[in-house]
Amino acid sequence: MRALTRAVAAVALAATILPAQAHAGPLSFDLPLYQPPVIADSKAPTKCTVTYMIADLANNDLYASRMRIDPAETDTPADNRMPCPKVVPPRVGLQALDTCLSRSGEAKFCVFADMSRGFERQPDIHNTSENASRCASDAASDVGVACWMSGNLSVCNVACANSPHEALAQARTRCEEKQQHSCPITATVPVSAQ
Amino acid sequence: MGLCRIALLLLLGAGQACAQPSNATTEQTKPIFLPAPVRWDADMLRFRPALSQTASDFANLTGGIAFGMSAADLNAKLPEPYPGMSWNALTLANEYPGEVRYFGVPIDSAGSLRMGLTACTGAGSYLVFLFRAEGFFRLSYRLIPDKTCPDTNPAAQQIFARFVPMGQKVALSVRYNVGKTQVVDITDATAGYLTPIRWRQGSN
Repeated sequence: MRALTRAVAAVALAATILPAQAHAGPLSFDLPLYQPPVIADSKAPTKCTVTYMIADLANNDLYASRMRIDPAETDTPADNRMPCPKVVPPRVGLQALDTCLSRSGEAKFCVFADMSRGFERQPDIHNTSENASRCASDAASDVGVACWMSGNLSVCNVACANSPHEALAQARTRCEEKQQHSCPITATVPVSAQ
Repeated sequence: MGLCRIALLLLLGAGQACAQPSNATTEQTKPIFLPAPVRWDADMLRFRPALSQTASDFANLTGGIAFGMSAADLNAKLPEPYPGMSWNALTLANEYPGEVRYFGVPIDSAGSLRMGLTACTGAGSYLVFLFRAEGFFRLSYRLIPDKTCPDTNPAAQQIFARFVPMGQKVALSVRYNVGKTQVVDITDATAGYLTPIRWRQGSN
């Protein structure tokens, strides 16, 4: 009888311990690993991003090619934005063009999106401006593009500003002054993806 | 005011009313595609992808379809799988060197691979899955206009926009047209010499 009581007690003890052990195993594999391991600091200054607007003439597409540039050790934020380099070497622009080139397959179709007057007659990269096709996040929050259609070709200009509305308005003004055309086709995108 | 003058004013008024719509320029918003960002060092000498993307990011986008899958495994992931799918059951894709095979599905039966399209696609539009011996390497959207959908460019842009942010070390997205058909090809980054080959109408 005593042996039976002990056996019952052992079973009862096992019944209380084992489920907890069985639970303990899967729990450790059930961690919410989909959550990012690092929580972004929303008050951290915006890191420098230089965004190039690139046009694919074959498809009449626009790409916003974003280049994040690491801060130098001496850089300090202003207005909660990290400074961007004053001079951007051409290799950064070439890399931006590559986002189009790798998709269009031919270099002649990929140009900077700020175009000279008369671009429609000579649609090549020499009639575009690399400098005017990029916006830096320390000076602007939004890129605007405004275009007119010359047949099947979009002829565009680019502007940088601190709101989407302002970027569009400035791009349209630039396009209409430079191209001497109404520029009703517009687009805007934030400079930084952060 | 004489009758002639009134008639003239009415004519001018009608002319202006008619002229208004043609004067008003059609406002359009152009899509901007957003490739994966690049990260440069402070000296702007070296760069690398700013985001760490892997094959599982691609699979998340396509509802579980991943490069390297066999035809049978990929077929099983589709909403309406074909019975008896195997490598030998696939048709040869003639435009590629070596042995490349394919099968297709109508875009309406593509489930999550429709990529949340809202633009029209044309009833004859379809998707092609291309395989080499190592497995699935290219997803090709063929968007064919018809009377109900005379322009499939917006649909091609919508699909393309979903794949462009995928880094080129995972998948390369390309779009072009063959005749009136809009094509969007999404290719495995490891496809090597097969990558630049494009669809030719009539080849598959």
